[in-house]
Amino acid sequence: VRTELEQEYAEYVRGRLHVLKRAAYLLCGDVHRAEDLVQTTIIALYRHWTRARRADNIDAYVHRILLRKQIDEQRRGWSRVRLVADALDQAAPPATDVDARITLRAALAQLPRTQRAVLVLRFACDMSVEDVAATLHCAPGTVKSHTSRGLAALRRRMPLDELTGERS
Amino acid sequence: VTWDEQRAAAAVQTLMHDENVPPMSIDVGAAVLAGRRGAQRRTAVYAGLALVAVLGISAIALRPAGHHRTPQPSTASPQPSRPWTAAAIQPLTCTPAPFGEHPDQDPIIGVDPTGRYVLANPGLQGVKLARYADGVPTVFDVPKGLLESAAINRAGDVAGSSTTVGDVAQSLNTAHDPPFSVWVYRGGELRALPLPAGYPRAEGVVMNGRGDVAATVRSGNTSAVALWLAAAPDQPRVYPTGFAGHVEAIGEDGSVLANPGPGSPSSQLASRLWSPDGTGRDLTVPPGWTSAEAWAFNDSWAIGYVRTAGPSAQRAFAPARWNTLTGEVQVLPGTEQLNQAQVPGLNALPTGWFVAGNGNGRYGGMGLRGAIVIAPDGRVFSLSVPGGTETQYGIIKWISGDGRKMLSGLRDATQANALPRATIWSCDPGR
Repeated sequence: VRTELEQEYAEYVRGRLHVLKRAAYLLCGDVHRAEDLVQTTIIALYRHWTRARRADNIDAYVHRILLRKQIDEQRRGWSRVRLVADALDQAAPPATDVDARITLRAALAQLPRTQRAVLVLRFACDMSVEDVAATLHCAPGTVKSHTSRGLAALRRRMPLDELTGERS
Repeated sequence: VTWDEQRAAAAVQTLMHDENVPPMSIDVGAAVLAGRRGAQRRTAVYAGLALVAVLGISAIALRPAGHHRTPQPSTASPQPSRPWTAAAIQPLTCTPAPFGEHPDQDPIIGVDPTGRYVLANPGLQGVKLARYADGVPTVFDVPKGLLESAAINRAGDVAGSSTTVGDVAQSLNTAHDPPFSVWVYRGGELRALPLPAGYPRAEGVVMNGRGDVAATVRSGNTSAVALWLAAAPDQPRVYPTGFAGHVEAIGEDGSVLANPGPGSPSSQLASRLWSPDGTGRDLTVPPGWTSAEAWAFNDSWAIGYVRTAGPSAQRAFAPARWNTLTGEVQVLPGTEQLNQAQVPGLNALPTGWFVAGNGNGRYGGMGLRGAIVIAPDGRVFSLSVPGGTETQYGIIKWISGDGRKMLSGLRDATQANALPRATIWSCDPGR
């Protein structure tokens, strides 16, 4: 990949980086692992860019790489644990639903991997059922059932209905 | 889906979108460099003779290595109109200098064949265009706000296609093409060109000196060539391609070239050329070669390359040209050994020059190892990157007919977010 293709690649990555970061963060629940995940994903994307750019749905292609890399990373387990001396200073989020978001991350972490992936792709990446199905190479019905079960599991772990009521 | 589930989904979506993702030090430039290293490792096995050596040997007309039968020049060009033979390679000495008012912010996207008019895209944002006339810029807003492509001709007119951010965003969630506009910027005024019925999308605009405009128009998976003649801009012609292709160039007489793209049938082995009367035909693939693509018009020639099939390490290609009036095809003798694994990039420019480098595909990038440029008369030059550094590369957008001026982007590979720097080169090609 060179020159204009590289430029095209860089433009795409920069344009979608915020979505990839958010998806990776929600999938991993940890900023350092998410950082590694995004970096390895975009390196892999570079190597496959000539194919990815021709894909009917580039986003689905990229998220597929992201999910595969996450699985690879989980398989490596402790071999890639990062040692951090101190927790990084992070500014407190200004939003009011801090507790809810922390609870959501914790609840997501307890979901089966596929359910977690489906929920993140659908609600953090705003992908349609069909696009998630294409990403995960499964039927739309499977996506719907994972969505339904995943939401049910989240509702058992946190008061989503109340949260919705407060917001509406 | 129950009402409760819908509410839960809405809550999860809101929470996820509100997630305050901590800062991450993602480095796109590092990804590019890491990706390159990986690509180099994979292709190292194919790296045989150096390009310079290959061209040097080719100048004395050795047959290529490998089992492919390479045509002799006499069979490729049975009735040459004039000699066209590659000369021995020689160095080309050039001095680069920044171009334009904001060379680091306004990368060049188009140059007219004379080099007088240059089109730049400030920030590569696609929101504005800078049109340079003799070095003096005029900046104007891109209609609808999101540029897809643009071209500039020898009269200084600009043509382009564009859409809106909102339409693109909406199209991501639907199966519908976002609506595009095709327009011409002439004399400080914009004029919209009507899209042919049934084709909402227009891409890859090209324009000739008299103001004829052509573009690839699409509807879903169906593509065609649209041609807006300057004499009748409100009545676009449509040339169905029959393959998934894209417009490549438009000649001064209104001839149009289109090349097959991804998704085209494997039987489509050559560019298609439409004459000014609308008659379409595929370019001739000379004996001994497998496919042919042309990328530009130069006088009465369509210029591009011919290629053999097979694994990339054994695939040969050579600059070629097709006479649009007589149908004659010529392969540049002496360069048959160009090997796509060693020189993946080759481009043809409307001034008749070819650029071969370690860029990618048809773009003919000037890579970290420099580039090979081939003059219209067959002289072959090696061009080094500036200062002997190994961190800069770029795309040669234009070379003057006499080879004394070049315009290119120049990118520092160590800078992740740097735009290609607009650069003008003063060169001394001799005689």
